[in-house]
Formats: sequence, structure tokens, C-alpha cells
Amino acid sequence: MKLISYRHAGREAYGVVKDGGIVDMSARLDHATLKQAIAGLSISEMERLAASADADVSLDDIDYMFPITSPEKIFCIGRNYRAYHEVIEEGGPMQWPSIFPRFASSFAPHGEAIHRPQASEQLDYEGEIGVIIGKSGRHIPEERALDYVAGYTIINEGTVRDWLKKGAQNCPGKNFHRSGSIGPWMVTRDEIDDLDKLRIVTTVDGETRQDGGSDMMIFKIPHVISHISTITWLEPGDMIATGSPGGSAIESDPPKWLTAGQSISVNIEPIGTLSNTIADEK
Amino acid sequence: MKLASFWVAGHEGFGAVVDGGVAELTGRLSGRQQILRDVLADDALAEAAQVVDGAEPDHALDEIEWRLPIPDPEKIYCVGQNYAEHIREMGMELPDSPSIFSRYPRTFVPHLGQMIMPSDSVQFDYEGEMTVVIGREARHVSESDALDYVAGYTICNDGSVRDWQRRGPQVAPGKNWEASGMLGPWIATADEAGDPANMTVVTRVNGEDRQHGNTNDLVFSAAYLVSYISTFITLMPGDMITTGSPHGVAAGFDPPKWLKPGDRIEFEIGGIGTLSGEVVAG
Repeated sequence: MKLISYRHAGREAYGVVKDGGIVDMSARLDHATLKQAIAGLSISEMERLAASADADVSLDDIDYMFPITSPEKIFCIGRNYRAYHEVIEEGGPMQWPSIFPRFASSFAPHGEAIHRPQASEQLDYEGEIGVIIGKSGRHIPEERALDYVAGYTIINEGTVRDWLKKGAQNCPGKNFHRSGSIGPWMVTRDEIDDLDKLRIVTTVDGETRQDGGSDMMIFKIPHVISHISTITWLEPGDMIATGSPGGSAIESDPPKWLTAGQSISVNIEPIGTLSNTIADEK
Repeated sequence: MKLASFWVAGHEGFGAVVDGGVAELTGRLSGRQQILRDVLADDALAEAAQVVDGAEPDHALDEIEWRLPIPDPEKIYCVGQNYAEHIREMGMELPDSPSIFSRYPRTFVPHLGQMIMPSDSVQFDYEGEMTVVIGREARHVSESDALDYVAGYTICNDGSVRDWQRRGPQVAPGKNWEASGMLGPWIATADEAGDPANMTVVTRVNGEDRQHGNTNDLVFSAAYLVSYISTFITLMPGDMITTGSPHGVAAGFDPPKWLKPGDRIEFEIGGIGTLSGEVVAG
């Protein structure tokens, strides 16, 4: 099942994607947001309601929002694909995942422009599987970690490369306003049979730039969930961006930085395709 | 004016600290603001000052339960390695760019709160810091204009789990431990707090002086940091930037004086006040 948050006719809503449209769940459930519906254990209820309903609105008539409109936390994992790690920085196998937070305002929703900042020409893309947490957990053992997952989305973990190196931490280069994107929706976890067999394909103006399999992940999703939950409670709607395979702009010579007017898509089946244009920051 | 957020008699409120208590402002301004962040966003500090001028306290200080001064800030940025004397002491060069990372609000407890000793580390440390509270939306503001966007100042304990700071290339895991830091007790408005480039910063653990610095030693001033961060993201009312810590942290002693359950800790910053709390077992 695909779950979506959206704006239609001046109102924020959420629902189930069905036949090119959406069955509006915010009109059928008491929960105000998809995050609350997930926290309220209403995923199976939404499935039941959607099965016997027709779409209320077409996907063509909505503005997409982040699947979780206001996540409390977004953690990202850096350098988590073997090939990518070898290209970007030579070094031995990592003992610990590279973890950093991003604020939601550093992303744009599906269909809206990603901003190429005034401060840099080095806007890059990173197509990633996004995990969406479904229930509260702390000190979650790896073998039970997937029980805490509501589903998966797509994250373009857009990065301003030269600002990664300003100062000792990568935060500025990972937190430019609207430098990445999240969406278009989430799929519930039952839709994915094998987390090691997802293929991430990023295209820029139709040219394939990234094409990698999740089998190349160094720190697997259950490990990452368990690790982060050692530090802090994970809550429904929290997101984890799980790292990107090779093929980012920086790896080309000369680098193929994103420029205004380009279209970028990240496809991960069976989740879908996250698409955005690039626009200069005004 | 000292502005605080709190629980009192079963409701959440905010107000100004006046002799021996708080004068409540919840819903009493013309905009009927229910949270302090909205007072900043609505540019209503001057009206708040008029209302509390000469006001009697509504509640004694021991009747309130302190909350974070802004309980739900959108963003909290932290700066590492920002006191010149301390950097030179460690034999390091002064940095060209600030080291910036972020923390989520739940990593902090309020004034008189209990920090939780991490379950997976003994290397629990404190960092007393002067913290800027943003008053107006700020993007691409110059250093000379930056303080116009500041509502006031508060105190942060950027509490750190040292071994987890070194697990992976980013410090985020050691800086985002649940209930590992403190924020508060209130926001001293810019007119009351005085010059942010000349505030004494003192930390005491169980009455023993540990940190002693002055913000006149900051490599990157409050004004510079507001300007710098506004280059990459839009700072919003209630966002906070904590400006780094002087020498004297637990890790700097031989052997290190790590915090442990039962420790009482105080952070005193001239012009703002004193933030106090204790450490409890996890």
C-alpha cells in the first residue's frame, strides 16, 4: 500500500494511493496527519477502508507534501555503499556508520524545485532508500528492528559539496535550504520482500547517473535502526536516509553539478519515482 | 525581560520572570499567543514588555515546572571548538570556518531537570555555552545586521558522550544522546542580556569551578554565526545557535572528571542567569 500526504483545494490531507488517485483517509479517520495515523496503528484500517472505496482525488490535482509532513528527526547515513566509499575516500572498512541529522527544511517535496544555492555551484544528488519508523523504540535489537518500520520512501539527499568541507563537520553542506527532496509517498513495509534487492536509479535529464543495488550497503537497515536507537528514542514518523550508491556528480571529471532547469528523478521499485526540477535560489 | 516557558497548574504557559515569580503572558497579548515562539514570530516582544512592566507575579517560581525556553524549536545548531584560548592550548590552529552540527530538542532537559546518564558509556561530559535565540526569519543576513535578528540569549549545556562522538566521522551520535544536555532557564532579551561578545561563562560541578571563559574569546562571534548559518538555511523564530564552550570540560582533566549519577551542575552566564540540573542513572 502506498500512503501519501498532500494538499488539495487549500487543505492538507493524507490517504492511500489507488488507481492513479487517492482515497482520502484524513476524511475517514480521526487522525489529523499520516504520522498520527501510523502512530495510532491505523495502517491495516487504512488498507481495509481503501479496498472498498474509489479514489477521491486524482494525483494530477494535488500538491505533494513530504509523506511525513513534520518528522521529529531525520538521520542520514553517509558513505554506506561499498563502491561509493571507495571512490569518495580510500580507507579501510568502517567500524561505525557515519550518522548526521538533517532538518526537514533542507528538503523539497516531490514535484517542487530543488534549490541550487547562491553560495555554491557544487549542488550534488544522492538517491537513497528512506526508512520511516512506525512505533516508538529505544535499545531496539537488530533482529527485531524491522518490526519498528512503517515503510519506505525515497530521499534525494542533496549535498552542497564544497560546504561539506567548511569546518570539521558536514552539517552546512547537508543542510542547505531545499537542497534535497523526499517523496513522492511511502510504501508500507509488507510491499518489500527483500531489502537487499532494491535498485536505486538516479537520472538527470534522462541520463542515468546512479544505478546501484542495496546489497552494497555496508551497514544494513536493521543494524542502523538498532544503532541509532542506542542513542535516542525513535518515534513514529522519524526517517533514516540509508546512504547512496556511486554515481554522484562529484565522481565525474569534470563534476556534473546540477544546474537550473535540469530534471532529476530517483527511482526505487516498488516504491516509485521521486522527481524534481532544479532552480536557482532567488 | 526574562521570558520562560513552563507547566503550571496542569497547563502549558509562558511568561516573564519578575521578582520571585512569573507574570504569565499566555493568551494575554493582543495576538492571544499560546506559546513563546509565536510571540517572537509575531514580533510582539515590545508589547510583552509593556504588559509585564510593574506586573505582580502570578505564580511563585517553585510552583512552575520549567520547560525548554522554546519547547519545540525547529532547529538547534551547535558550534564546536570556538574559544581561541582553548584551541591554542590544545596546540591547534584557529579554524577558518566554524565547526557546525545540530541537535534535536529531546536531547535537552530544562532548568532543574534531570540529565540521564547514558547506558552505553561512562564518558559523559558537560559544555556550558552562551546560546543565541533567533527572533526573526533570517536568510543571507550580513554580520553587521545579524544581531537585529536575535530575540535574546539563553544557556545551553551541550552535553556530550565523548566516545560516541568519535564513532564515525561525524560527532552527531555523541551529541544527540537522549536527555544528555540542558537548555534554559529562560531567554534574556537582547536589551537585558547585554553585549553577547562580553559575557562570562562559568560551569560548576558539585560546587567546584570547572569552566571559566568569556564570550569575548569566541573565534566566531554570535553575529558571525547568525550570518554564516543564514547563508545555507533560513533561520526561523525560536531557532537556536549555541556558540561553543571554553576549556575545562571533564575530558580535559587527567584523569577525566566524567559526570556521574548524583552530580549537581550549574552553568552561569553573565547577563543571562544560571541554569542548574542534576545527573541521574539511566
